[in-house]
Amino acid sequence: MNEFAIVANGLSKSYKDFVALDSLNLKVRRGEIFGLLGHNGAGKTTTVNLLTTLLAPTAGTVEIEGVDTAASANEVRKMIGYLPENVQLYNNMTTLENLRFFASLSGLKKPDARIREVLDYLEFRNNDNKRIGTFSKGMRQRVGIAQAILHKPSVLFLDEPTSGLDPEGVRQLRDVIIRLNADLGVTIFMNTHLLSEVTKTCSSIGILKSGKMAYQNSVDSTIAEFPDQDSLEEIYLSIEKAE
Amino acid sequence: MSKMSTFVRQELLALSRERLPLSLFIVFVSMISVSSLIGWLTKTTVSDVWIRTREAGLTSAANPFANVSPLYYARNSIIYIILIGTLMAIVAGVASALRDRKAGTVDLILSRPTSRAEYIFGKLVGISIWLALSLTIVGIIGATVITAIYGAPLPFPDYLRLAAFFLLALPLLVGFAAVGLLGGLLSRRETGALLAPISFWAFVTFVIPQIGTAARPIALLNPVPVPPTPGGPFDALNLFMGPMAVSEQFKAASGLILQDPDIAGNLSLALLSIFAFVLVAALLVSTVKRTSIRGVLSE
Repeated sequence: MNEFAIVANGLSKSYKDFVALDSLNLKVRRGEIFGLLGHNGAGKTTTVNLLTTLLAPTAGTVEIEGVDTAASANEVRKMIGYLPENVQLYNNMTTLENLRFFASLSGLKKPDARIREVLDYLEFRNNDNKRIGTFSKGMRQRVGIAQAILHKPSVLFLDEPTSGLDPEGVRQLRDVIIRLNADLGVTIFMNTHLLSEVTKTCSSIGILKSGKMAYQNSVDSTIAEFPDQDSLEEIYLSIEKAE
Repeated sequence: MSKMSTFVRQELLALSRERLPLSLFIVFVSMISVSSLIGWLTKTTVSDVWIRTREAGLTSAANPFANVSPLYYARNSIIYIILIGTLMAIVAGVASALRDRKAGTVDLILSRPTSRAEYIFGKLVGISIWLALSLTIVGIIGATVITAIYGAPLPFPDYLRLAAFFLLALPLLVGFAAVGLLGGLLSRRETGALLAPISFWAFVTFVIPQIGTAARPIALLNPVPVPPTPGGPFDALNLFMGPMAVSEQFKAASGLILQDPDIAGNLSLALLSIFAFVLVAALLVSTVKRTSIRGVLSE
C-alpha cells in the first residue's frame, strides 16, 4: 500500500497571466493531519481545489491514494471528503434531507442508518428534522463535516474549517478533526491561517508563499529546526519574511 | 442513473419549498380557474344582451353562443400558459441554479462522483416533473370549472382535447425552464440570470410574432394567433420567423386542439416548432461545461 495519501508533482495553475500555483510538490503521509499555511492569496484554496478534482491543473499531476486525479477523477472523488470554506447547505431543508442528498450522491443506498451513526459520532443529536436555516455557524459546520465523512472517505479536505467560528466552536471542531484522525485513520488535509490550531491539530505543515511551497516538514521537526523561535507563529512569520 | 434520480428528488423537494415558483404556481392556478369563469361571463353577458336585443326586435340574428363548444371556456387558458406558465417555468429553471450558488454546495456536488450530464439533466427532469404535476393540477381544476359552468359532464372527446391541450403545454414550459436553467448556469449575476431568459421570452413571445404581422400588438395578448400580413416583406419574413415564434405556434396548436373555429393553422408545423424548441433548449443547456458550472455557481 502506498505510504502517501496525497502526492502532487509540479502542480501549477495559471489564469491567463496570473500564476496561482507554481510547480507545487507535496507529499502527505497516510493518516497524517496536514496543515497548509499561507497568507490570503498564497494559493491555499487553489491547491485544495486541484487536489479535490474541482480544478484541472495547468501542469503537473496529483495522486490521491495512488490514483491519478486526471485519469480517474471519479475514482478519486469516491475516496475523498471535502468541506469548503463558508458552506451554507440548503437552508430550507432539514439536516436529514441535506445529508440524504449528499449521501446519495456519494453512492450510499438507504443512507439513514449511516447518517444517524455519523451524527451520533459528531455528537449532533436531536437536530435531524430541523432546518439548516435555523442553525448557528458552528452547527452548520458540523453538518458540513457530516456530509464530508458519510461515505467513509480515506482522505478529508477541509478549507479554513474554523473560519467564522467562535472559540467554543473552534475547540469543538478541533476535537472532531483529531477524533476523526485518531479513531478512523482518516488522512486530513486542512487549509488554515490559525497557527494556534495547527499546533494543536496538525502533525505536519506546509507553507505556501506566492503560489510556491516555501516550506514543508512535520510540526515536531519544524520546531526543532528553528530553536531560536518561541512558537510556530514566529517560525511561520520568519519563513514568510525570508526571500 | 441513480445519481440523476438523486438530483430529480432534490429538485422536487426544493421546488416544493421555494416561495417564488410556488407563488407563480398559485397565480397560474388562479388565472386558469378565473379564465374559464371569464369565458362563462362573456357567454352569459353576450347572451343576455342578445336576448334583450331580440326581445326589443332589434335583431333577428342567431345567438352567437348558441352552438358554442364547452371547450370555448378553455381558450382563455392559452394566454395564461404563455404569459404565466412560461414565466413560472423560467423562474423554476433559474431558481434551480441559483439555489446551489446561495447554498454554496456546488463544490460539494462536483467533488463527488457525479457527471455534469447527471447534474444538468437531473435538474431539468426534476423541473419537468414539477411542471407536469403543476399542469395536471391546473388541468384538473380547469376541467372541473368548465364542467361546473357547462352544467353537465362534457362529451368524453372534449376531455381528451383538454388533456391534449395541457399535455402540449408541457414541452413549451420545459423549453422555457431549460432557458431559465441555462441563464442560471451561465450568468455570474443573479439579476442577469433572471433577466436574460426573460428577455429571450419577451423576444420570442412579443417581438418575433410582430415581425411578420405589420405590428399589431393588441393581437399578441389574445389567445388567437396573430395572422401574418399577406404579401410583401412581412409575409416573406413570417415564413422564416414564424416557426421561431414558439408561443404563437402554441396558440395555433392549442386553438386547433380546442376546435377554435377562428384558427386556421398547420398543427404539424406548430408541433414541430414546439418540439424543436424544447430540443434545442435542452441541447444548449447540456453543453454547459463542468468548469463553467463551477466558475459561475461557486463564486
